[in-house]
Amino acid sequence: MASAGSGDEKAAAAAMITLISSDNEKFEVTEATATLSQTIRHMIEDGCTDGGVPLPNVTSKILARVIEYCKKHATAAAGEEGSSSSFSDAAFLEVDRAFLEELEEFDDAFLEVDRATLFDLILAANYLDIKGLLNLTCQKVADSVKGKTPEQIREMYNIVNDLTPEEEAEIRRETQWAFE
Amino acid sequence: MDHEDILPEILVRLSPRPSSLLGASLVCKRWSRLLADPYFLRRLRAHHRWEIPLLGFFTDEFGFLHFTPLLEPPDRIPSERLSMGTYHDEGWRFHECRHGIALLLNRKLMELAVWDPVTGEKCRLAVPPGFNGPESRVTVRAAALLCDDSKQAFSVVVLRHDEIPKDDKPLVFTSVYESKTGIWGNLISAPITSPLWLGKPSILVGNSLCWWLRGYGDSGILEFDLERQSLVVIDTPVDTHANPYSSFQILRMEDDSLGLAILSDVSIQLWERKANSGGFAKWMLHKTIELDKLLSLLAESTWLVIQGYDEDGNWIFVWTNIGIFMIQLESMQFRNLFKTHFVNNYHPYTNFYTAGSRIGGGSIEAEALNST
Repeated sequence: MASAGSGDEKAAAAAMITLISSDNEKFEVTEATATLSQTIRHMIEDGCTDGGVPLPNVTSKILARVIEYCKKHATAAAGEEGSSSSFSDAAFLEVDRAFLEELEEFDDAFLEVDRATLFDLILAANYLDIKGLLNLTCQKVADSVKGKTPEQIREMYNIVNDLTPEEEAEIRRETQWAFE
Repeated sequence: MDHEDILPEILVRLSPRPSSLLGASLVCKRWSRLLADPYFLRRLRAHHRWEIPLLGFFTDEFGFLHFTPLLEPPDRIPSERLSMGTYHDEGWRFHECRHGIALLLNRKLMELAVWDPVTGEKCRLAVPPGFNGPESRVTVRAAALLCDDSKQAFSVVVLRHDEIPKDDKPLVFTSVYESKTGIWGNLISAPITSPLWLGKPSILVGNSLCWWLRGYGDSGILEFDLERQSLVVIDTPVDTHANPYSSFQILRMEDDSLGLAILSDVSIQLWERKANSGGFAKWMLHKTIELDKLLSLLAESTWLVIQGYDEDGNWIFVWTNIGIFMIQLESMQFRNLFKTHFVNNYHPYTNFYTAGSRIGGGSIEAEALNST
């Protein structure tokens, strides 16, 4: 429980955690980066991260991307905290805006992946409980079906239509106006 | 998308518009079932808290409950789909709606009905003894409906009060029906000096239901705290621009504090009740809206009246001689709906419109209705 104490925060921030992917690759990350994951945060608080944190559900390829996301967002969060005392309000707002813009650009670029990778990222974000990453990736999928017909959605994501013709007719009949 | 856990995470982020949710219901069984699942719909509601679409509004028109859609195609729900033709003959009157379900009151039968306009399901319950008499002091004056988000249940609140000013120390009484237990609770009372505005819907502010008490110079707001189960009368702001022809509307302000709109002549004052550092709540003037300028009203259009309010989206409905306007009180966005000589109450209707409830087994409302 040592790291949960309020004592020396800088030392805590600099503490390193080892994450181990399903294919046994080791990643050294700062505690600040790792704790964007609520799952890992709880493990740290419970003091069970000695010898590394095995993540049997996450491949090294995906874990590398997840860490890239966490590093960027942890830096941004630290930057915001640090800047508030040393800048005037106007300068702080300027820095703040620049940070947010940079972060948005990063997120947009981060989402430029193929569909399989996107789903792997969602599964990893869900398993590791990283709220920001889960929101980002799931929103991307939700936006992708916007304005699409049910047929187009099935085609995009290889979904088999298992609704019986009766069930489908029932929904369409009830809500015919929406599909005219 | 085969993974069980992530589908809700994705679908909860779909656009909450009817066409988007209905289209998704037609993809496959799993999507269809999820979109009809009460727990999922609750998550959808929480996720889109400020973007739950205002589907339209209900009006009681000469014996016909009429639904007017507000969205454009393909999200435009046809009027016939949610309107109800015969209900008036039987004595039913639309009282209010909240969280997508409506409360109807029938004074002939002394019954209340909780009605889901989307599924058509209706749950009827008798007005409790003491509220169902023929005399004005023992008849229901106001009622409210609540759908509990955490449990699949609803509550109905009824109010009556002594005759003002005939009775010496008039009291207001309330009783709450819980669908979970199926019984009406004990009477709760408070002193009162002005009568309730008959037929005016309640406004939910934080954990309290509020009603307007229209007094002649001593108006007030009756607040029923649902958690503490207590009734109190809250004073209204002083030094307002109110005159004998003003119209009033209780508001739910952005941070869930109590608000009050006062429309006098052609301007609306928006008041907000804020707690100061000492914990005492005080009315503060939030802003004044010059409707003549905003809506380009002619100088001779003298009489304006507030006829409805959407507590979720903060839209107010104002009758003018050039049309019914709906105005969003923060953004000042407005829309002229139509011109009418008939001054009516407008009940904004906010809900998700999903299909599939027949397949997946009931929406949150349907289950709530079935549970009694």
